[in-house]
Amino acid sequence: MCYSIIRFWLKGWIDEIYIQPEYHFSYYGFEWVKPIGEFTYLIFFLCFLSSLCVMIGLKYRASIIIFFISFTYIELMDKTTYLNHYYFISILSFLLIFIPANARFSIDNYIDKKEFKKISKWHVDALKLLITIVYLYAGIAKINSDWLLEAMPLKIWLLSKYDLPVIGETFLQMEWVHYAMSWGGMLYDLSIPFLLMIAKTRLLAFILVIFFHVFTLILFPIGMFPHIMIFSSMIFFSSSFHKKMINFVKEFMSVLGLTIKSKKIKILEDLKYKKDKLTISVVMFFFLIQTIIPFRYQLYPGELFWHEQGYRFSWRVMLIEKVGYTNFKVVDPLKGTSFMVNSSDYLTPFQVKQMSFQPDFILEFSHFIGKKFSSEGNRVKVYADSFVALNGRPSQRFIDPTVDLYDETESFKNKKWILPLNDEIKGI
Amino acid sequence: MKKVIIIFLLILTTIISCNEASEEISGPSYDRETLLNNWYIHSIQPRLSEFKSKLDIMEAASKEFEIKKDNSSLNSLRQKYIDAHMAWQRVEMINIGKAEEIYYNSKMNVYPVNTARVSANISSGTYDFNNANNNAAQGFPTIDYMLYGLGESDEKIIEVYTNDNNHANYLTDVTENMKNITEDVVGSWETYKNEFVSSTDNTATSAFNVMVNDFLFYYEKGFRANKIGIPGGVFSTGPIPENVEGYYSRVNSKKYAIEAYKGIIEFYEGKEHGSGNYYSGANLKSIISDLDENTGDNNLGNKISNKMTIALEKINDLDDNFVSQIETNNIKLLQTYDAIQEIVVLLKVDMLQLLSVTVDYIDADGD
Repeated sequence: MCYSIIRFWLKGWIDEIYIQPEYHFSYYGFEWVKPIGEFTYLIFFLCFLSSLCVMIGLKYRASIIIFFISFTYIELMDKTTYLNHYYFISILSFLLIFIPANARFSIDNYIDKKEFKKISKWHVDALKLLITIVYLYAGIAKINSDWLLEAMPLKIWLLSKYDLPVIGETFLQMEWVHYAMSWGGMLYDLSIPFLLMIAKTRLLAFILVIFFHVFTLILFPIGMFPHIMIFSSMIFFSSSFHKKMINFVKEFMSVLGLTIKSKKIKILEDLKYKKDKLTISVVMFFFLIQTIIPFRYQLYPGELFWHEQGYRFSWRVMLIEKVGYTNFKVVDPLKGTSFMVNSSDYLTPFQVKQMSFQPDFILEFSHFIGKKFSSEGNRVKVYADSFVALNGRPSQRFIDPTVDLYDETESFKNKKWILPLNDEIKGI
Repeated sequence: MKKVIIIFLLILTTIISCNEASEEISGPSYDRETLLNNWYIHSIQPRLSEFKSKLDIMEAASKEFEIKKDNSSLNSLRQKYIDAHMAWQRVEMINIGKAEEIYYNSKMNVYPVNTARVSANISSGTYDFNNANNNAAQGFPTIDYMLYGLGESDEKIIEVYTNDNNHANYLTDVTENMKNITEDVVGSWETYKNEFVSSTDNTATSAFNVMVNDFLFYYEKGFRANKIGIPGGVFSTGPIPENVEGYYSRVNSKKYAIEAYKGIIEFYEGKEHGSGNYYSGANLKSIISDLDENTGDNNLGNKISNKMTIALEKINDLDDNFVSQIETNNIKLLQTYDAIQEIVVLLKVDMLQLLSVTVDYIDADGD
């Protein structure tokens, strides 16, 4: 985690993504979460510090809470950067608030002078359950006609990787590879949590996990996700395995001369976490939400991949390749004049790219433009001229060009001004 | 454990072998090195060398005018300027390597000309053409202004030049600078071409991606917005005739636009500069046509071609002088804009999706 933030910092992304842009896209209901100028670095620093503390187990409970808040705040600042694995980290850290991951092998033990051999089974099981949900939903989402019958969008992505050494010009250009990878990916996601659960297949499953994620790491620009998933799946290993790992680290540390005076630490058999009814119900509620949220798209008519209402927070990973081109026309109803807005005057190229094919971004930006060009007593109208192509289909008009978007408001209701896709994608 | 692995491997091999029977290479069947080589040999190199020779002729004519300052040398220089500006129309899109590094385009053709800045430079006699504030006080728009806009009649214009030496000096300096930076760019290709042709990766800085980006950027901004959209008032509350290219020489605006659009079509369709014949091997259109599974008029390659033909006809239908087109019937100019715009959608959405090339251009000229 710590590494992820350093990576972010080094690449200058803080400045580029959160400080430079004039405008930020917010999540509905979280419009108040905005970057706070130069102090944004402070949030990142807090996040970095707390993640470091969590890692070494120093003041665990406080650190994980700070980490959860700061990390989530960072993610909420601009939805342009939304990625499923950032969301995963957010909810994982939320869950970790209720789990005493500092029970063993942490600095807190050293300070409190006690260490626990065992923690309640449900603590570990909760983490396993979360990972199972992630994989399972990702797998279910892949059962659709684009992914399985057309090998889309993998086909587009793999074909463009011709510059990879050895496999680029040969392997990745063959049609059966695209299909094999699509089907393989689906089967992998659906089966891996169970393979990890069963002791017999665990080693094989872990080899598969490493193979799969390293492969995706080479092929796709998805940042930290592969590392995170590889490490989180280790939770499935038995406690003896983890003990061995800890001993290994301890030995390594003693080689470096960092012996921990373990004599002073009282070793207790069992961590008797208070059977706190509140904790239990929060965690239960959390999982209930997690299982329901991915299915909320059922409430919206039309094609999910096209209108993306209910797309986020649902473990739909790498399912769509969308390219969009959206321009805005501002009409002054009093003077009868109109002009096109140059979006790149207000947005970064990355924001323009993301905005161009996501309806909620288009609506939000329409309001920004509307406010900018309206004056007292003269409310302008904003129309979108928008074209989008999805998973290799020809481009088609995306937004109803006759609807004044400045007059439309954001809500969880269906956005009627999104034109329907002239095609059907079958699947769950 | 072993059993599971064996079963797993068995399934895997059956999946693979089943598929192998229907093995078929669906990948793009083009050779990127050939493509880049084609672009260099048939477009970049001949366009640049033709432009350079036209510019040299213009520069010689401006030297002559500086000495003679008479009617015939003025008219000769005007003709040479129009020839060079015409040849420029096919060069502007090649914004890669040295050209990109020295902001070649911004020094050659930022319009409208900043006449106040030109006058200030002329009277002060000291100026730095590398200063970005002088971008609109050099290059073709400045030449256009100085040859046509300094007075109401040819006599009055010549009078401006005979009254002092500053005007003639500035004209020569601007021309010389254009010649020098063009020599820089043309010269750099001697060594750069090998790097260019072998830069076939799919990264933001590889030659193939940069050229595709340049082409799109030129189509959308250099051509569509600058030549038609901005003067027609698409981006403002009303038309801005002063923003027409070649505003002072007037009658050439359509000529420039047609020449530029033909340059776009030839580059896209894979035609040799000069003869206009199709060259063999990969070109942008052939790649797109191969990648798109649709055939006939539905094939993206043909769709773009057909729409380009329609757009070119619309441009042809306009008044020779875009300023009078705006004043008499701006709707017609806006309809032409729409026809050009339809292709932007196909290029930026459909083509980019097929090519999987990322658009990374940022607006540099800040209009």
